[in-house]
Amino acid sequence: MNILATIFGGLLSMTWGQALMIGVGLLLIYLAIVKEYEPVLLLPIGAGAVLANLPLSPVVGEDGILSILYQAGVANELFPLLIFVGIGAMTDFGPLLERPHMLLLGAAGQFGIFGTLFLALLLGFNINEAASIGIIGAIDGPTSIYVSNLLAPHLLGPIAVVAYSYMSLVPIIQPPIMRALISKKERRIRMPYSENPVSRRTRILFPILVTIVVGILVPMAIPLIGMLMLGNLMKESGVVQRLVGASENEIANVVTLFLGLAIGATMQAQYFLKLDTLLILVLGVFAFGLDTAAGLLFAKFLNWVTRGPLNPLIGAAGISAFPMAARVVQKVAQEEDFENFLLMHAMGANTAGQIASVVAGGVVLALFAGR
Amino acid sequence: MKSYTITIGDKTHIIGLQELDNPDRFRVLAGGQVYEIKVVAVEESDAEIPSIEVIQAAKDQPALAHKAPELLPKAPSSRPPDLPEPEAAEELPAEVRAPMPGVILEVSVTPGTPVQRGDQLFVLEAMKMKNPIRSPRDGVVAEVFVHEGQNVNYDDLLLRYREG
Repeated sequence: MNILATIFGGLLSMTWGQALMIGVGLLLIYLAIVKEYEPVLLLPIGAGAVLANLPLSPVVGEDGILSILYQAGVANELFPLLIFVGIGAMTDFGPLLERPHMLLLGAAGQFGIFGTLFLALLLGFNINEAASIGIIGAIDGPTSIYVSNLLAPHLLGPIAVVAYSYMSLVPIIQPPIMRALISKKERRIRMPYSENPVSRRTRILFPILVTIVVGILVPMAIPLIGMLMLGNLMKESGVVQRLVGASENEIANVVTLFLGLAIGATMQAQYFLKLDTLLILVLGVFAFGLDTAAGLLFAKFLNWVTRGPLNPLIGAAGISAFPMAARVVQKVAQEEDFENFLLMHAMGANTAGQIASVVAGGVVLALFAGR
Repeated sequence: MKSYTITIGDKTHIIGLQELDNPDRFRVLAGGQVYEIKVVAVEESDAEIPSIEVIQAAKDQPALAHKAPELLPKAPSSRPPDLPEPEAAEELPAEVRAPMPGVILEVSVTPGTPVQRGDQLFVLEAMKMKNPIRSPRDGVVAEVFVHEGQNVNYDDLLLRYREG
């Protein structure tokens, strides 16, 4: 009997919660492989969840590989910040610099953060938890991880999973809202491509100035905006190709793997299987919807005030979720008029949303951290 | 110009047909050549096929004045003739230009391809997104100015339609 207990120890000590969480991990792996929903993140997260929930698993706990990764890079915010260097190195702010007014749309696309925050408060979350859930509305994975880990680390797992899962669902969540709020006539508004070349000097000065201005205004955003703009400065400088290549490929890939595994490891049954997780799932989709609606309505307003032509669909790209949201805008506009190419305008709003969501993350931290 | 597929024997031809102002005049595109034709009713007992008179044929092409089937030359010529601008031009765009900068991933038409409004002409990759560029009008492709893998800038000429 003792021998049996030793051999089948794992099976005997398996809890229902663990079995369920292994199921959740497998579901994430399925979504990554079959549906290709953000596979680069959801696959490692799913694998981490399975590994961490196998009974008696040595991967979590003292000297467990996943716990080491968590301590090394998630608990101290290292991994999301390193990913930001890579994002900065990959992002072309050209479409935004050619159309600086798109910054307004990027700001409007962050409205869901605060709307969701209030709703979460009403549902009984405390202020730090509510702010962490609201930050899902930044629609930016690393920002969500960074902020929620500082404010409410016990919610990190559900928030990261919700943020990344819904991000891959942007093409499904956004179009119905776009069609509901923007009339057919408005969706047909053509915006000619405006060629407005940006000088190399502007492209180089932009990341430096943004870092300094945002840094002075919102000090809590310095790590996020600083890393993002460092990556972009390296890219635009043109003199450190090796560093740019490493940032956007090797470093980003390695860190993404580590980050995914470590996040997956936080999804242990005793922390994840709670009513809170379900509520976060619901609040997350609410945040995405609210962001989209706010961006669309603000763009509609801008079109009315400026007398256009500004196709209000562009507002949906202000939510960050780069570059999916911009592509969704292009697709929905083309359903109405295949000769209308909004992609570059939408990319401008989209990169503006990227910057705005980082700033919003800093604002949320400034408001709530240390309470 | 509307295009029709005609099967004669076991050969399939695609012809383009456009009504002109005069009710018995048509502009026909067949085998890479454009003809202006006049339809004349003839009183023959065995057939109701009207005879066709070619009013204006392309250069270096003997005027055809036969019945309908012979109108179609067998081998399409590779280069279309230069045709005069239409007098009663509708506001159809004569060309297609790049709507934004990017890379041409796919060229879906060749000179001589009849296209309808909405048909895909190119796939343009911009910001890592594949964008179909569709035909803004019915017509026939005269010339394609880009090849697959080519970088294009905003407003670069991609394609010209054949006159008609």
